[in-house]
Amino acid sequence: MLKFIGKRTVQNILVFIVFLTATFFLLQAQPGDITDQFLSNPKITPEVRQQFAERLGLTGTLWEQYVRYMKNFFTGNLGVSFSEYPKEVMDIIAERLPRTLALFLFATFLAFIVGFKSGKLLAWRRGKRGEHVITLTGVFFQTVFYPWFAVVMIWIFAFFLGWFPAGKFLTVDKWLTAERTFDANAVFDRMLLTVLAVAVLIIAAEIIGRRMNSRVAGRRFIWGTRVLTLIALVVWWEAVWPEMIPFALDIAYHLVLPTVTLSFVGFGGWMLLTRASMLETLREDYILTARAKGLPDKVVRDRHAARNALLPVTTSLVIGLAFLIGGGVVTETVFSWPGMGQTLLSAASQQDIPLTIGAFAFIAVLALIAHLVVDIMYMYLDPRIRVGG
Amino acid sequence: MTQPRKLWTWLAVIAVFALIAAACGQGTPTETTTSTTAAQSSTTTTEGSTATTAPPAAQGFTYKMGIFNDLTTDNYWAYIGPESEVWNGYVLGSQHPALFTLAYPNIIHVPDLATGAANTPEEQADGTWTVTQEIRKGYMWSDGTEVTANDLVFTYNVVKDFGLGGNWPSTFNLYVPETPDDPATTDVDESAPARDGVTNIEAVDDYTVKVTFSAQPGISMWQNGIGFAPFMPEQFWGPIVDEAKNSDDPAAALYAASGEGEPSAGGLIYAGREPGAFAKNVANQDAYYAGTTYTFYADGSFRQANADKGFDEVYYGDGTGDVTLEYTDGPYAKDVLYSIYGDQNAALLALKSGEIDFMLTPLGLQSGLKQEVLDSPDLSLIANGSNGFRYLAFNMRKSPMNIREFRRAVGCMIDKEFLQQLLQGAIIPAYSLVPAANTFWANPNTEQLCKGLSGQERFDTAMGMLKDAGFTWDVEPQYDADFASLVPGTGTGMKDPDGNPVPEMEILAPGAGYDPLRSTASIWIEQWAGQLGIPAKAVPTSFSVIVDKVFAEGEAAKDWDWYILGWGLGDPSFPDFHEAFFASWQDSAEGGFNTPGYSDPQVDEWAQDLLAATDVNTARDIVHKLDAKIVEDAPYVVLFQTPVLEAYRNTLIFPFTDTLDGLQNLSGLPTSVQMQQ
Amino acid sequence: MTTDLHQSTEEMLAESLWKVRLKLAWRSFRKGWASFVENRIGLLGLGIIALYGLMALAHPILLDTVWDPRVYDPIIGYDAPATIKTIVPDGQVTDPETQVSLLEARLINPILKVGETLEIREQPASPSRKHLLGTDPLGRDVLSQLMFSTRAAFLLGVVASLVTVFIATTVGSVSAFFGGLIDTFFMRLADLILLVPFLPLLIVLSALFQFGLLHLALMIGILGGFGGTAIILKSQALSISVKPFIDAARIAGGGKMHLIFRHIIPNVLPLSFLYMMFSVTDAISIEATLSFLGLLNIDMSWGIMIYQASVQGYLLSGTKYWWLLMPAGLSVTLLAGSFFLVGRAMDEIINPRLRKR
Repeated sequence: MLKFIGKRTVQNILVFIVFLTATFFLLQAQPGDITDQFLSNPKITPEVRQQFAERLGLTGTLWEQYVRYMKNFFTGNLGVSFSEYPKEVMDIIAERLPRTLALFLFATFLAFIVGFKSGKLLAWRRGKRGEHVITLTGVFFQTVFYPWFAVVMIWIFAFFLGWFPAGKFLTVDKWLTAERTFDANAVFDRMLLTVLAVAVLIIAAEIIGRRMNSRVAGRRFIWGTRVLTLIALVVWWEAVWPEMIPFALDIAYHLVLPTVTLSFVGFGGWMLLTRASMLETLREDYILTARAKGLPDKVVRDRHAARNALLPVTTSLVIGLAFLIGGGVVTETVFSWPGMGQTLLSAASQQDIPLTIGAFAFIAVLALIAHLVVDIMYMYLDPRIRVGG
Repeated sequence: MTQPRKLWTWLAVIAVFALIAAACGQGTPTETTTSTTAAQSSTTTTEGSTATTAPPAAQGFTYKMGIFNDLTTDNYWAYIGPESEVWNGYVLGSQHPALFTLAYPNIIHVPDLATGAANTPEEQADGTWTVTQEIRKGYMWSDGTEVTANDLVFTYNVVKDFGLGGNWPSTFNLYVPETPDDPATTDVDESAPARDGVTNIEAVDDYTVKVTFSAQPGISMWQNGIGFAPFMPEQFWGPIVDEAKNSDDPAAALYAASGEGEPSAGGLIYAGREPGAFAKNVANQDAYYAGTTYTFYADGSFRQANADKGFDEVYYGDGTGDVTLEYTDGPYAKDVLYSIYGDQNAALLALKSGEIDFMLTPLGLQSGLKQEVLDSPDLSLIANGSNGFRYLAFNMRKSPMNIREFRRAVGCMIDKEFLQQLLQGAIIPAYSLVPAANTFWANPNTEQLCKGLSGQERFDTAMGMLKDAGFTWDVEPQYDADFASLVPGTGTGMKDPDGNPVPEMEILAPGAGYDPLRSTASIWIEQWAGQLGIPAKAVPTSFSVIVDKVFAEGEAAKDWDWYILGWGLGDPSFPDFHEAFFASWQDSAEGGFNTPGYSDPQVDEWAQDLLAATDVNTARDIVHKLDAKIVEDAPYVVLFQTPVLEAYRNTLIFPFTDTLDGLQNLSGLPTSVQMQQ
Repeated sequence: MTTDLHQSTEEMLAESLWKVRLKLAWRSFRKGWASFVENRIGLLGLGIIALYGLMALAHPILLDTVWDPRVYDPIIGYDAPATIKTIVPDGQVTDPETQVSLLEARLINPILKVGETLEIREQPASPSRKHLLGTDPLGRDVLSQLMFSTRAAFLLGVVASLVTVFIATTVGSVSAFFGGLIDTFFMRLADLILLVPFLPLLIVLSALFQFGLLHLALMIGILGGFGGTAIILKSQALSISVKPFIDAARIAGGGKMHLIFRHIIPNVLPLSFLYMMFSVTDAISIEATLSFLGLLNIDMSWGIMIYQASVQGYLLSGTKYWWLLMPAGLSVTLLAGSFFLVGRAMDEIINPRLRKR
């Protein structure tokens, strides 16, 4: 199993190097560079521009720039941003990454859980009334013109109903008046940590609980862990970071609308896929056997069919993730969420080469890690790999 | 099986409630710790004002403004350097004193640190020119130290020694010695002549600055050059500079330092930011000009008086005539908040709800929001002319654009008033290079080519110009009123005076996405040129590509035909841009800014004179002559300018709202704005 | 299905090969159509596509006949209902139909004075009989823009999907047939493309290079063709290349190219056609998204319509200026969704396992 993970990781790193190289040369092939930005400023002389180019490492042959760049990249030195000179690209990314991670993680979980559960029900209801409506809804969410959809969501929930804030990730007044010793990112980091810890605990409980001999005991164990985790979460925040709680809630409040909107992108696809996959599974002989045995429908659906249907759905997570990452860029732009996607867009349009590569590379790393996680999940779900690996 | 699950579910719900309750409990005390210091002195500041008719103003309020991008730096060196983005300027722009400043709204050049009007430079025995200027005593940094001449010397030395880029070299007009060609490095001749400028700045004593120039300095070098150079606090930056000196790249190390905690000598002190969310300034009640009353008189004279600081000064006259405007500066707000919004829609909503009081929009309010503001009882809308213009440029290095009458014929066809109607107020037609709103400098007699003519008249006039210049057609175009606005025109086979066919030409203009105004203009110009049988085609092109093409050097300078872009014009108190845009030595093929490749000995001579001019009236005459001559020759066809629309909450009281480029140009007047109670 | 086709070839040996193929194709099309008609959702999709197709076709005809191009041209047309109003001092507007305040007048033309008249034009104008979907802020007919953009959407979708399917079918068949190094290369390439988030990549590309509609179509086609679709089509080709008739053809002396192009590719084509539908969906939404982000240099498209409404401040005007946002947004959704629906319906036909339970 470790061997499998190791192999996958090495593969992913190789893919990443190839990707990085391709990106670098692509960016170099574009017309113009940063010093042209100053072309339209009559007060900046050509000498100053040349000086600038030298300082930014734009001199030398392409190969020299490439070698310098790759070397720097793997020593954690992503170079210096042009548009926010002389800020380190790494610092800019470090500042914005937590905001993107929060959005991405919450939206992925939400989309996957809701998509899977509803797809399961949908397959079970095949041929019944309402199926067309639900299918059309699913197709709508998968193919809706996302930026437009996001705008409509903002309009309904932020402007018309006024339930959620729009265009910011915190309430300025709240953060302004408080005497605090930490910044928003510190809160973001802790929120992410908490979510990860909660996720790990709950998944672990799920695994252990399912392997317990008695089904009732297993259920109790799973639910017990869930609640204990929640209580632990509250206690931990109260005890360790009490001063941050109102601020974390403030951020969470601002997270709701973008997260829900973004999760709709993934939701439709996963629902339809689960449905298709369930339909295939339901035709299998063992389902027929289970039904013939007289097992209740719910048990057949949840424990026999759904578990197996999860396999192909998990593979398709990869495609869903790509959707979500793309959707994330649009979400950040429409919701003015200052994360990686927005950074990528503004850096690319300002021809800030290092920041563009940096942001793009980190988005790719995010995708790679997500894929790796999916691979591992798949391995866990598919006994053939689990045993064989 | 279900029972324990339900129980646990309830427990979970209770746990969540506990969390929320705990959070709310946490939340309340933090929100009450608001009112702090700094409100006491604002009462004294209103003493000097005589003509205040304003309603009672709130004390110690927070002036909240919306901005649309995060700051990219909080370091003033970096802001004047590579980070010259407007958002940095809004927050950091009013902390550093200079010898002189501009008094708005009338854009008058007045002393800031200097004790009086600018002295006249004198020639020295060695051919250099020097000027000394006394600075005020008691002008304090917010940390309690005094601003002295040494601060300017310190700043100058850092700029020179570190080779700071961006706007620093032009701010200090550094003297550039002749660069001899070094044949060892390249085979291209890279020698460049010396460029006149500042050769030294020294402090005669703490209160006297002495500047040495390599040649006689004109206004643009002395009064509007060094005169506007910022004084940086040496006590704060000294140690950082010393440390930066030892690094590999001193300039980058200096730029990378944080400006938080830097003392201010202006009305605001930078007070930190939350990345991605907001930035903050607090009022500096001890600022030298805090509580000063400014008076503008109809005869052009200007008075600044402050009883506390013991000065009462009058410039440009005797200060006795009718008062056109008088106001007393604050700061009235105890702090100024700059809250970041992603777009104007969100900011407008915040404006309506009172979350912010004003929006800082460098290009003004989007037209779709105009009606929204007009309809809202809480909001006011103001419109101002902008200090800039959008233009059509011709590549005069090529035929037929090198023919004056050809350019004028195209210019005549362009119906700017029609465009204004088409774009419903989004543009204001412009004819002169200096914006008409800059009344002191604009030439009222600059030609207004074909203004007010009908479509038929324009067509006839333009055809007349082309025929006079010797253009011919295989099929001569006819004016067709029915299809007046639609290509293809009826003319085909246009030939230039030498009998060569006029080639297909491209009009490069930003796409509809980047700028619908210029995009629309380009499409219509294509139509109008087409009516004359001129085969020009609008090509939507991204901004960076246009810039790339039209500023290309060497042979590549011939690779474009026409393009549409715009200029923002910088210092409105001394518009010397004619030199940068049209002097022959500024040819873009050689790295300058004269993109059309325009060359005229008369214009060159005037441009030289303008740079050397030492008094304002001479300079204005030259600008008038330059403006008229260049507009008639039409290397550019000035198209239009865009009004700057701005919205603010009615609770704000601004001393004035009519000002070139709008209130955003003055960062929202953070030190003189008041708020109704 | 494929073996089915081959049994019937023997009956028609007398006829030339292309005729046989045509007949077979027609027969399987009729069969497929019969089951397609049963799928109501698929039919709905097809209906919407047909509707938009008609709109695209009708636009140039309308412009040639009933629509005056000066009014209805999607890019340079102009029409704004104008009313002459008298300028009165601020706050003294008693009759908004005939009067306008000085402030508002000065916003349009700053040199006007009280007492003068001004022609106020309604831009954007709400829907009327003349402009069924109103006009945009520049006084252009929204319906005309919508119909004009439909053509662009179809063009983009068809070009992108043809390129995708052409590349993916070739790559898939070749990889499946040859295996080995070629297979590894193409499959790793596909993995790589699949791993890189598509939209961010296109954002980077379109911000760096000049992107027109055709460039974008090609780019989407190439990325899609070498990416995920190639993997799916390869597995299909693989399952075909182990079928007995391939061996038979090989023994009969068929060359490699002959085998690939005459036997494998024709049998992969139904699936390719299915994936064409999905690529159209992708292409349409990607174009619209990039336009919305302001990254494309084109005069008019559904995405540009929304983008323009957005940069001019109408994005969150909600229902007040609904015609600026809704028609274009809905069109992208509907057309993209319809191709997806048709694709799904075809999927159920081509994958018989799903057809009936």
